[in-house]
Amino acid sequence: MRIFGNIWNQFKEYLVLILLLLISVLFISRSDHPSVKNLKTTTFGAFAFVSSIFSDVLHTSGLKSENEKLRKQNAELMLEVNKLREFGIENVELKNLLSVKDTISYQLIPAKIISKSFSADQTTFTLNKGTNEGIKPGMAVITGEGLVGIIERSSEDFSLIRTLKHINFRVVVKDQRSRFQGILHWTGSQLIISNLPKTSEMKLGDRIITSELSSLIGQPFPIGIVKKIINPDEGYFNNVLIKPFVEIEKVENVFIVAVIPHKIKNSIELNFYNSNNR
Amino acid sequence: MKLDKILPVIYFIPLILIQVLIVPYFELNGIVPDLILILLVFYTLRYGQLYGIILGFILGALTDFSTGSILGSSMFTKTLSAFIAGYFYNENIVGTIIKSPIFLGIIFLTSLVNAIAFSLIANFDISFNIFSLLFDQGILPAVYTTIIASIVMIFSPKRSYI
Repeated sequence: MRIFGNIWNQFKEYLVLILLLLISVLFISRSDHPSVKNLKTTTFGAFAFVSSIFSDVLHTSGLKSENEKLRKQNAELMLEVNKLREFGIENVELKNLLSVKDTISYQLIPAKIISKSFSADQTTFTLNKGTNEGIKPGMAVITGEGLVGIIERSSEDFSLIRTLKHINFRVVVKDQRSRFQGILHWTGSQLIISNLPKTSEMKLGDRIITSELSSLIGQPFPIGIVKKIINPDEGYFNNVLIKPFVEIEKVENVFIVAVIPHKIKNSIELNFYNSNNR
Repeated sequence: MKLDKILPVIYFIPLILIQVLIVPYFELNGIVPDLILILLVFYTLRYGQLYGIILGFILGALTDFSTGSILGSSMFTKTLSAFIAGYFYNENIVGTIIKSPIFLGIIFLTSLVNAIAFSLIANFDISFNIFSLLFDQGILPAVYTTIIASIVMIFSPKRSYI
């Protein structure tokens, strides 16, 4: 017993350190477990409630200048909408001629970012809308420029976005010009499409959008442009660096795309996501 | 004395609010200072290594819960950072270390370890670029955190704590 006492006195810092690091590693390895997810959702909801109160107070001061900016943006958008309406009418007419029916309807839910957590690997934002407004995990989050991320989890009144700059964010994308597809992910410092065959015909400046093949984001949302093609001498694959359209750090207001896809498509595609979240 | 030891957990609440609500306005290319780490190092230097390790674990857990990052990642890195900061604990200079440049050196070192460990845990990749790991994800956040710590150092009262 005395020996243990001596060991404890001599190495207590190391013993406690090892114990706590092991507990941390255990949590990391179990981070996708449903019970851990539930715990995180509950605590996140409580914290988001507190931060939303302070966020409202902070944002009140900037409302006047923001109002002016929004009025200007509103006028510009009105002109844009007019133009798009013309294209829309034309589009419907052409589709009718081709007997093509839309299988997807979009509903955009506006939301405000109330807090941001930056880190090189895991940039996450908290939104002021939750399940009460119909928001569910897996929904896409966009701005006028393009995709911001997806809803990771929601409490009743708040949601957490996993942004493009999160190492666990992965989405199937395609080159709008060449139609080549790949998986986009964040490395911690860069947004890349990795392991793209060298035969792919991507070029600098090509627009990258989400692919219909994605089980979560089945609509074509703009992501960014090809900034650099890394072509190693060895192997059969290239990596492609993407410059996102959305400046993730500057985003303040977003829209959540509450997609109501075709019933059958919905049940097939979202089953995968639901089964992973049970 | 006992209440004093719980204070950093209470200070955590306003600090994490500042971290997620105000600090993002001062981000530089996605890099932000880590206010929680400054609090942790400050109290580790005041009460010693063992206290710091436990505090690091608690503050890390609270950070993970409130920011939505991978549960366990901040727990791990903050515990490790406090362990390193604890090596510089010396009860004879507790009152003066906060006002000395050594404090900034400790903040830089622990912040560097914290940032690199966080990147390795959250995003371990065999093809990791060592330069990016050290510079973009290590040194830059560490420098930013050290700059903020220097402001804390300048404006902190001479003989009392926070």
